[in-house]
Amino acid sequence: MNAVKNVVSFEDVAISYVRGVHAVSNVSFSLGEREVVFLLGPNGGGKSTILKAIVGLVRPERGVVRVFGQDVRRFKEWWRIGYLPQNAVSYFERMPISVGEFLHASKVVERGFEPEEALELVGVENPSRILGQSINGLSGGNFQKILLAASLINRPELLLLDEPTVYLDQGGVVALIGLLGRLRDEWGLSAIIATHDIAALSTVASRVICVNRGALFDGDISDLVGSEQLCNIYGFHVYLVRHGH
Amino acid sequence: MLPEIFLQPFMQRAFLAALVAGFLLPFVGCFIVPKKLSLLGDSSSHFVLASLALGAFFGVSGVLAAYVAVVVGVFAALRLVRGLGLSGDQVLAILLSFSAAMASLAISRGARVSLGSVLFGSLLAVQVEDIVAGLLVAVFAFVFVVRNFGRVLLYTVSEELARIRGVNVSLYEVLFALVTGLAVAVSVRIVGVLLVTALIVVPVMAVGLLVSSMRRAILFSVVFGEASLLAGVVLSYLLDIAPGAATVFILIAVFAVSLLLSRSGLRV
Repeated sequence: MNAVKNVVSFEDVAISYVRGVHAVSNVSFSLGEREVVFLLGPNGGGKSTILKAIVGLVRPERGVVRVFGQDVRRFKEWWRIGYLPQNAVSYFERMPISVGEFLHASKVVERGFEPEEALELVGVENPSRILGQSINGLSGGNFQKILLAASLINRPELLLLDEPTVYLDQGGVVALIGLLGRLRDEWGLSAIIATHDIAALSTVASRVICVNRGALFDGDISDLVGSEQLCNIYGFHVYLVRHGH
Repeated sequence: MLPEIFLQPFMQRAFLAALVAGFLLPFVGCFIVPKKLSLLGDSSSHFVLASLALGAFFGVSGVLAAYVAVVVGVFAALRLVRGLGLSGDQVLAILLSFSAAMASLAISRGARVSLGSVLFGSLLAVQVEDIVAGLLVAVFAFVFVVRNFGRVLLYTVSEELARIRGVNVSLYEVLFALVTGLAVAVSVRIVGVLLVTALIVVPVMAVGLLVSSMRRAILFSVVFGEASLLAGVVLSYLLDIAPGAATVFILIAVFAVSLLLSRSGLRV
């Protein structure tokens, strides 16, 4: 019998930005192949910190983070991970960089897509027209698509999305849902999605990990609805509204 | 028959230095400004001032010390920005003040520094060694950026994005400090401590209003920088004014024209 391989695993992880103050602690979970999971929690609860720990941008004070079975501190095959950070607009301020230049720079392996193909994948209409445009001049929705294209350009096996629906309209969210489902089925993509907009994306996956400085709930979304867990996580009453798709 | 301006040895050195500095400063500016480190030019040129003043105070040659001090200073600034989580401008403002205070202390205790020439630049101060050092740095920086354009772009956009694309961010930080520091140390001779920042910041700001790609930004920034500095050197000779001042007036005029063109919707 083949054991299910873990794409990501956290083993009793604690992370601090300021000495003595844990951004997250006692976090343990694992993510299998082709699995999509939501990270849910309030602002400052540690969702982005968990994603940053997976890509080695923050180091655990305690515990071990493994990516594709390897301690993230020794992991080198970064092309296997696509990462869409939160609030990336500020990265590009004062920088005259074109969409094509950024996507070319993001492609680091031969097997990756050409920039135009990556744009088509994420649903950009007329990709050749946008390649020469400055990233600074894009609308919020197109900017988010460019970042998504950059995170997918190397055909990653793991995708980390930090608040991916922030700049997207309803059509964009639906397209994102379709894309994630397709990539999971066709590529065997695994994904962790940090979001407040779980109801909009809930057709892609049902597993939810709730964090508020620690992992407070790990299970099916249907067990979360109506439970006291949401109240504990957010500190006040929260109602989950299911969208019909 | 060449005009007299091209026959004077000190003017030949000044033109060569202008060619080197006119390339180097706008070139590094294309990476400094997007990294939100615009004050880096000011801070590093003040490192040069402090090391020259301290060198004079202790009676040692200040030139080599200036080169080393400015590279170490820029590297320390970058590490502080990353390590302390403060904004670049905050850290650089502190280091700028510290360098200025060190220079002031040394001068007040008797260090003999030609302040006018160090602060505002002088055609007479340019030495052949500065030109050779600048040329070597310029060739290295240009070849490195051309060969590693994608990685350099990612490092400029975000060190986090660069790191997760496998860029050796620590190495790039050292190289960035080395090239920026040496570019400033070489250029201080001709444009002066106070005006180095203008050549780092103004060309890329002017060009950034009009272009949509980094390749064009680099090309046009360097062209603006070269043209402005060479014209500044000529004006300096003809009008007997400091070359840095003449260059800055030209740069600001170019920036104003770019602003007008950008308001009219021009993009290239």
